[in-house]
Amino acid sequence: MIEIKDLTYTYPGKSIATLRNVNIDIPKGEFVLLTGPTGCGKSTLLKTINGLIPHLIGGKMEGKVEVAGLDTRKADVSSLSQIAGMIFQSPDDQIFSTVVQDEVAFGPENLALPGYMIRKRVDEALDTVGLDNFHCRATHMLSGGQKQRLAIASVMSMAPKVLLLDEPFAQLDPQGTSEVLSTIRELNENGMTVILVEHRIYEVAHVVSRVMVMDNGGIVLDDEPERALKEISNGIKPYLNPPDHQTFLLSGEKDSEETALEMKGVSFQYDKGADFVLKGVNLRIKRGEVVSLMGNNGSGKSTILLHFTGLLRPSRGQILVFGRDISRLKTRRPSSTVGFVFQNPNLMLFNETVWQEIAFGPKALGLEGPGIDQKIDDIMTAMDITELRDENPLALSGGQRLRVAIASILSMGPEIILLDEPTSGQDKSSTDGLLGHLYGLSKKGITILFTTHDIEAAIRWSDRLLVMNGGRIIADGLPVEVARETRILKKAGLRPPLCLEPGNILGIEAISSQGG
Amino acid sequence: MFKIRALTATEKKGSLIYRLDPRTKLIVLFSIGMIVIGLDRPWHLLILFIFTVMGHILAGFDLSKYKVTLLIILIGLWGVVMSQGIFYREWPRTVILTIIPRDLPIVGQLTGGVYLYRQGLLYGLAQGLRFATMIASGLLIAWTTEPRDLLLGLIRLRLPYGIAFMFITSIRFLPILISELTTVIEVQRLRGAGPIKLGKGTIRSVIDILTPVLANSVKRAATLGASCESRAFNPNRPRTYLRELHYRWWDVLISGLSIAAAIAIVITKMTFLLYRIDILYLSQLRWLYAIAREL
Repeated sequence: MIEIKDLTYTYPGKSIATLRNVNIDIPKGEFVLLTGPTGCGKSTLLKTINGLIPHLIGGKMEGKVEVAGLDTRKADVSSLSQIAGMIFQSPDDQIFSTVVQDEVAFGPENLALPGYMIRKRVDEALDTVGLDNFHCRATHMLSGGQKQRLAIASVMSMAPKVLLLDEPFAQLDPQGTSEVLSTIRELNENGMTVILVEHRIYEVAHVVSRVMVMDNGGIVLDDEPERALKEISNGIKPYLNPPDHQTFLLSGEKDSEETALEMKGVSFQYDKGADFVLKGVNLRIKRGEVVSLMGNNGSGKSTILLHFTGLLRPSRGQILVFGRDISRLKTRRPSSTVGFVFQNPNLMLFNETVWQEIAFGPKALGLEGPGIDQKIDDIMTAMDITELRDENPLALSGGQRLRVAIASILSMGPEIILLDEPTSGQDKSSTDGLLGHLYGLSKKGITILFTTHDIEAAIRWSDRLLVMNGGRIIADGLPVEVARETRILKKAGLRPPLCLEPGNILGIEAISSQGG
Repeated sequence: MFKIRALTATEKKGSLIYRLDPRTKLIVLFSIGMIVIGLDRPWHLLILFIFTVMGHILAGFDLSKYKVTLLIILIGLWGVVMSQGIFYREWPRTVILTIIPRDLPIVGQLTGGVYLYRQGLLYGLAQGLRFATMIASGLLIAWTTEPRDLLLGLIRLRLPYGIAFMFITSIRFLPILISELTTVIEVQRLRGAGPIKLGKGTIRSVIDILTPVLANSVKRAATLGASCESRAFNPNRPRTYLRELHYRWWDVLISGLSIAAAIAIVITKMTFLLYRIDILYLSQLRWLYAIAREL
């Protein structure tokens, strides 16, 4: 179905090739997992298969890519779109219609199919992804998983033979991920050839028929899942390390008894008459604790963070930061005590260079001077961004942008750092590097509270795990203990950590509670 | 986000205004645009404005929409009426209020006095009512027509598909853009940036806010473009549509009346203009000139 021979590709304006001498042969009906570290060329490879490269993006392409017998260089994008459909990372960025059926009809309309045929394709595509009763639903009313399934339906209506998915789970909660994965699996079982780009290999390895690992623009491993996972677990690349079975970090209780953050009976609704997003939440976090907050989208995780920043005021109850009640402060401008890293770091970056970005906060707070310059340099070193000092923050990779955003908060010397989904879209190596650094800060007395969908990261890098569901905290305890409560995790729409599943089956202790 | 969405969302109710074909609404909007240019008297413009307000009442919108409409109109009216009232330069003009007397030391001598003129207020009122009528009628159509119907309406009115698609897509992303702007302002406040104040640093603050939003929009546009291309999008090739619009008898009637009213007013004013600048005078048309004077 897909044949790639000696493919080398260089983006316009770049001197170094992103893809280097790639050779792949994928038969019809195969389900391929394509993985590798950020920037290794996975997404670029997908774009060569559906013709966006070279037709839309340009650049220098050598070698040959054939899909269903069509040479992608010779065929136009319109013809290729009926053979290889592509799904992008963020469903919000690719859905432009306000109504579900219009989005699905867009492709067939572009092909100038007659009305009855468009209707038939829309019905079939929505039926395939399990959205058969959603024809007239507004797209903004859909959940993340439903939106991504809609994106798949809008591609399916073009009747492609190959489905290309570029990290389709990156912005989904566990519930959404599960929905979309089962849809893709069904499509593959019905004969569709699928190439899925994904970092979280252990979550999808059980459904694929082949695993390819890319690094530095080339394929470094191509095998059936069982053998590929064995090689990966033997450590062919550190970024692909499997979830730890024995060495989850657990620091135990920290010394400080001082309360950094506290919620007393907090309830919150965004509008009068609307549902309560938080329902009587009581929470106490000690200085120096690292606390992870999990739950499906809409469970109230981000709302808790926003309350501690002072951007939201509770409808009922009290918010205390180091014992000071901030819930009724007249000014909503918070102090420099609390630093907040938003989910999308792009929206945090507005200065011309990385150094200016990090220096912005201290300058705004009037903390200028040689001591501050040194502090900024130290933070840049700690976050491994020193060499990016004069780069424009918005021109950096996703992981680098996140580190700059965190550095810009650290430079203000906060005693509490709140992070909204810092693990979203990050590969394992980036996640571990980032959370490991934050964990180090906690040992200096800085309190960390972060939301995440990555339960392995929560177990590995937090002292305490909170699970939220429907505006309430339904579990609060040591991460390893909460992670064993599969009933509670399932109630919150979370999946138990993968390392627990074989452990439970075999009756062995998969997670050690002995600290490392 | 919810509030922004509520302000930009189309409502669905049963009254006639929701059932009108989008082409009819666009024709009415275009006709109102022509009529407000043709009318000069504040009273006539006020009647047209009230006609538009009746459309809003008939639509039965959410309260937040009325508040926004009222706020925009009041700010616009106040600005236009007062600026024209003060800076009116035509003659004759009657002073109704002295704001800064001519003989006031320094400021009075520098400005030559600042006054409020009756004719300026009336002229400003006419301009303000033109603005208010267009805003009210534009919002009325936006809030009673699904963007998908508007897209079809524009295409059926022969607007090129590429342009109509761009227009509608920008409407779709407007709430997201506003939400991102809000987030950026919050982010910057949390990092110690003060509120935007007029004066030194205003432009810098605005650039700081717009930079991340625009960068994100460009990134999104690239994904959107790739997504469209991957689905055979080509604005220059013929395409078909899943849905069709239905032009009913009341659409014909309302469109016809709107176009007739617009044409009548434009012809009347044009004829009068030709007479005023000594190009064409026909004594048989004296009755028309008399009407034109009163408009």
